[in-house]
Amino acid sequence: MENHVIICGYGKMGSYISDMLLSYNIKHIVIENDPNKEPVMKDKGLSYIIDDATKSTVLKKAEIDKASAIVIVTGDNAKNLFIIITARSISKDIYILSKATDSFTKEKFIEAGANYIVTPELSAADEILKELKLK
Amino acid sequence: MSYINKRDIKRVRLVASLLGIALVIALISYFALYELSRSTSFSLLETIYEIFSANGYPYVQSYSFLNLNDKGFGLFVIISVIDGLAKLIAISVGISILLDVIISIKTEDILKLNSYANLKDHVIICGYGKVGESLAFALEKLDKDFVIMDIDKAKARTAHILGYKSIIGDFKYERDLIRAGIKTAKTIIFSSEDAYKTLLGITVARKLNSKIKIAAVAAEEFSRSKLHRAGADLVVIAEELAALEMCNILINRIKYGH
Repeated sequence: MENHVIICGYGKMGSYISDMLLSYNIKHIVIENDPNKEPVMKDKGLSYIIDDATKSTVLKKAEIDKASAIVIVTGDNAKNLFIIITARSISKDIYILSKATDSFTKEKFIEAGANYIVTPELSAADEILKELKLK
Repeated sequence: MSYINKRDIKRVRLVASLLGIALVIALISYFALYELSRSTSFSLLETIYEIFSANGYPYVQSYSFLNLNDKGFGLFVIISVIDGLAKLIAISVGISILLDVIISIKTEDILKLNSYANLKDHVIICGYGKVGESLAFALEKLDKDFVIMDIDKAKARTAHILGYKSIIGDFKYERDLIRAGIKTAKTIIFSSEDAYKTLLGITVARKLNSKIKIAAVAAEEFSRSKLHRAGADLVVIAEELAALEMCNILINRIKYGH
């Protein structure tokens, strides 16, 4: 694969992102640790690796050196941070997006090398305020 | 005292234990002094006075019932000093913990009884979790009036300490929503991801104020339609929004080179 997107974590966010990328025909590969999610990914015809995305060997298997972006959306902040550090150490140019649970974590992720961070709870609050015209 | 929680009971037990330890040390010291006074011609009170008074030191030497050179003397002074320090620490810690418990009980009383029924056109935030916190922070910056309601005493207390109007309450109950000023509020936001509780809250809120704008956070797609049917004007799924945001960035970069 080349110029593809790597998605680390096939939880709620990972599956949403994968579905949207599929609809735009954007090549991507999913790395997920939980083997119970394999049938779902297989059914959807996804490229995937069932392994721990914190390992550099796994990221290399996903061809991180040829990828255009990596999306890190596991449920664990510590894991996400680890993956950011590992990804950045392998590829200086890759665009790293990650999920964080709060603004303190967000800062740490940016310092570790992430390019863009989303905080789902903040996104929800922003959307509510915007739609209710409170903002 | 029905507002005392398990944490407060643990603290009271800790205070009692510390005071108990201090009492034991004091008793040991007392008996040591008693034994000492028995071995001399002095009464217990005189012995205590001689040992602990500011002038005790020279008198001790001159009365020679307790000699400086006595092997026991140094040890006794050390034990007495430790005893005094232990009592001082135990009493100080005990007083501060008791004060903390009293203050937290008082704060909970306030939060349980507070009423904002006189507010108008304000926002009610049900739930002071991560979404509730973000909402409160943003509304404060926008200078909008709002009330936070949470069933969790610790969360309601945190919001109160941060200077927000807050109450301890359950949004399933009319009386608590009325205390939050639902009848005159402009908007109510349910930030709990528990769809069942939110459904109940929406139903009660709609009943008390048919014109109020209702927003809710859902955890799953299948909850969205249910919450809309119950009366919510807006339902958002936090992770879906975050995923959308990420995808917009990716698509712009990959497809359009931005």
